[in-house]
Amino acid sequence: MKNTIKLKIITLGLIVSILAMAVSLLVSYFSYKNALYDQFDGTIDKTTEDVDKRFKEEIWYGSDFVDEIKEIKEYVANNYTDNHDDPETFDTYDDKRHHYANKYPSIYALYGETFILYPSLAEFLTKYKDIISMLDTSVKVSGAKNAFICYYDETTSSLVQLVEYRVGNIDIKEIYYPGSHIAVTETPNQESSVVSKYSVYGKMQKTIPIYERDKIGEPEGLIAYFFIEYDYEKVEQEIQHTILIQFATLGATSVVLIILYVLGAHFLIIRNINKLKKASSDFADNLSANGEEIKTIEPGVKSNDELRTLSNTFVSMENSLINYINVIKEQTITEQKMNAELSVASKIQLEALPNKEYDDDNVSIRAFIHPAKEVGGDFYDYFYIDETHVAFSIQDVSGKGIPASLFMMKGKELIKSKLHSDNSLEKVMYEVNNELTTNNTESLFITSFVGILDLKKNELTFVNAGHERPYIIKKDRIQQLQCNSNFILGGMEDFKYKSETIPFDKDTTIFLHTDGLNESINDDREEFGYDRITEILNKNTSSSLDEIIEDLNNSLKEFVGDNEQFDDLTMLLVKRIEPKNLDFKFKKPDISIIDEVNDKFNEVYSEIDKKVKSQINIINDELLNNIVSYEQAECLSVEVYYSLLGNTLNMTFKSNGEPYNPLEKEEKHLDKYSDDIEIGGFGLTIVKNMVDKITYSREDNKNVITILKRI
Amino acid sequence: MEIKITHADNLTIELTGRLDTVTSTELADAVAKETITEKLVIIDFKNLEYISSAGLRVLLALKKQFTAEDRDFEIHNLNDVVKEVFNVTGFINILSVK
Repeated sequence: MKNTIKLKIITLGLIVSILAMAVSLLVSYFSYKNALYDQFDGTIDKTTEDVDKRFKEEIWYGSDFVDEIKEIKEYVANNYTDNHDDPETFDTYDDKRHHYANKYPSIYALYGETFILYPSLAEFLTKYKDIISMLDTSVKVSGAKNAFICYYDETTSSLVQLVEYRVGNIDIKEIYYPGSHIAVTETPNQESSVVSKYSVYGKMQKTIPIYERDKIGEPEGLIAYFFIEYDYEKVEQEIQHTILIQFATLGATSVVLIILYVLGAHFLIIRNINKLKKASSDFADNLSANGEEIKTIEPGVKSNDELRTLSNTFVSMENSLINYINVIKEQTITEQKMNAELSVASKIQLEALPNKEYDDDNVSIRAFIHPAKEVGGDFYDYFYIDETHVAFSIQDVSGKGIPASLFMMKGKELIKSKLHSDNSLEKVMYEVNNELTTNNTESLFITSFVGILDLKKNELTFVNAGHERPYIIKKDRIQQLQCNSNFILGGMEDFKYKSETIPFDKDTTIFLHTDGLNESINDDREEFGYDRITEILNKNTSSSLDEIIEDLNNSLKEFVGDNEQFDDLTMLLVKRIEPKNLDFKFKKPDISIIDEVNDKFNEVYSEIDKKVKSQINIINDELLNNIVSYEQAECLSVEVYYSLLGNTLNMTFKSNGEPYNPLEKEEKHLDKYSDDIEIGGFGLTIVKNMVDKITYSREDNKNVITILKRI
Repeated sequence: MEIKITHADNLTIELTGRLDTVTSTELADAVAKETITEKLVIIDFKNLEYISSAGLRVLLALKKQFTAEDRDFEIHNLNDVVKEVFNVTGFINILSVK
C-alpha cells in the first residue's frame, strides 16, 4: 500500500488515540477502582457502625446474648483440645475437613490445628438462640457473607472462635463451632470500636468488640469480638464488572472519535492535498502536451489555512513556469533561426569560393579553408581574367563572424569585377581600397595578396596589401617572396599600391596562407611560425600540391594538439604548368590530312569529352576540306595550331591561298524538302554553330581563321 | 568508315566511324552498287561518331534519288552530335529520322 499522507495522518491519529485511551483507561482504572473500594469501605464502615450501635443499644445490658457468650466462652475454655498431635496428615484443607466431618458427623470446627467439639448441634441451637439470632440479623443488615464471634486468648495470643454464621446457607453444618483458633498478629484494640480491617486472611472483615455493660449502658468489660466478613470475591467481581462497562464505553467513544478524526482530516486536509496533487499532475500533463497553449490549473482549495497559501503559491509558480517556458521557447526559436541562418550564410560563403581543386593546361590550383566560426573572414579566389591571364588572391579580414564575412565578400567581388574591366593591378587595388575605405564605420580592413599570372609572358604581377609573404616553390628550392608590403585594404584612402613582377615559368608554385597558419599556438603558447612552414615546404619541393597541403595540415594538427583553432586558416597553392600545344604544318596537302589531324588531336587531348572531340573533328573536317579543296596557290601550305588555355581551346588555321573569307557566306538552313535544294554550303553553318568565337583575318598573305571553343 | 548492308525485313545500311569528307564517297559508292528493290531503306547511325557537311551532301543526293524512284530511307539512332548537325542545317526537317 502506498504510504499516502492520508494513511500517515490516520495512522498517527490512531496511535495517539490508542495511547490516550490506554493512559486514560489506566488512570481511570486505578482511580475508579480505588473510588469503588473507598465507596465500599464507606458502606461497610457505616454497616459496622450500625451493628456496633445495635450492640450498644440493643445487645443490651443483661440480655441473654452476653450470658450466652460467656457460657460458650467458658465451655470452650474448658474443652478445647489441642490437636497438634493428631497423627493424620492431609494433602489439602478440604481433605482435612472431610476427614473430620466423617469422624464427627454431627459437628465440626476447623481453624488452624485446633478444634473443639460441641456434643450436639440441636442443643447448641436451642441453647444459644440469641447468639444465632444476633448473627443472623447482623449478616442480613450488613449484607455480609458471614459473621462470627471470637475471644482473645492471651495465653496462646490467638483468637478463639466461639461461633460462626454464614448467610444463605442455614444448613447447620455450615455453622462453625466454638473453639477454633485464629492466629492474630496484633492485639485487638480495645479502645476502638472497630478493631481492624482486612486483618484476617486479607479478607474484608469488620470487628466489633462486645462489652458487658452496666445499667446505663457504659461498657464494663470486653467479652469477645464480633466479626462481620464480607464476600471479597463478589465485591471484586462487581467492581471489575463496573470497570469493564466503563472501559467498553470509553473504547466505543474512542472509536467514534477516531472515525470523526479521520473524516475531519480527510475533509479538512487530505481532500485539499488531493486537489493540489491533481492540479499539479494536470499541469504536468499540460506541459508535456506538444503544440498546445499551456494553461494555469487552479487547484480550487477553499480552506483558509496553509493549504490555501500553498495553493496560491502553486498558481503563481505555474504562472512563473508558463512565462519562463514561453521565454525559453521564443529564445529557442530565435536561436534555431539564427543558427540556421548562420549555417546558410556559411554555405553561401563557401559556395562563393571557387573549387578547392583546379587543373588545366596552364595552372594547377589547390586551396584549403577552415573557418574558426560558422562564417569566417578568410577568403581565397582565382579566375581567368582572359585567355592568358589568371588572377588569384588570398585575403584575411580583421575580425571574424558575419561582419568580417560581409566585408570580405565586398572586397572579393570588387577585386574580381575591377580586374575584369581593367588590367592595371595597381589601379584596381587603388580603387578597391578607396571603395572599402568609404563608409567603413566598423573600421574593418583586409590584408590581401593579389597576383596575376601572365601565361604568355610567364610572369607573375602582384600586389601585397599587408598580407603574409607567400613562398615561391621551385623544383630545387623554396624561397619566401621578397616583396613590398603595401598598406592594408580599407585602412587609408588614396593609398598608391605598388605592384611587382617576377618571372613565373613552368613548374613554379606560389604558396599563400593566412596568419591562421603561422600564428597557431600549441599548449606552451608557442607559435607555429615561419621556420616550420619553410621546413615543411623544403621537404616537399617535388611533392604534389595535394601532398604539400596534407603535410602542412597534419604538421599543424600535431603541433596545436588539443588547442582549439582560434583563427580562420586558409592556404592557396598556384602552380604554373606548361600548356598543351599541338601544331601541324602541311605542304601541298590533300584531304588525307583531315584524318591525320583528327586522329592526332584526339590522342593529345584525350581527356576532352567525346562529344566535344567529335565537334572539333567536324570543325577540322569542314575548315581543312575548304582549304584543301577550294584554295588556289602555287604551293599550298596549311598550318594548324591548338592550344588549351584554361577551359578554352584556341584553334588557328592558316593557309596561303587567295584571300578568302568563308565567314561572309550566309548560313544555310533547310525548312522542307524540295528537288532543287543545292548540295553544299552547309559546312560553315555547322562550324559557326559549334564554336564560341570565330574570326577571319589576312595576315602575312595568309588566310587566318581563329576559333575559340569552350570545352 | 565501315559500311554494312543487310537484307532482312528491310534493307539496312549500318555505318561505323566518321561520315566526313574522306568517307562520304564510300557511302555513295556502296549504295550505287546495291540493287535496291525495297520501298524503304534503313540507315543505322548507331555506331556513327559524327557527320560533316560532306556526309550531308551524300544523304541529300540519296534523298533526291530515292524521291525520284518513289522510295525513301529512314535514319535511325542519331547521337547528340549528329542531331546537332541535323538541327543547325535543317536536315532534321527533310529526312526521316527515327
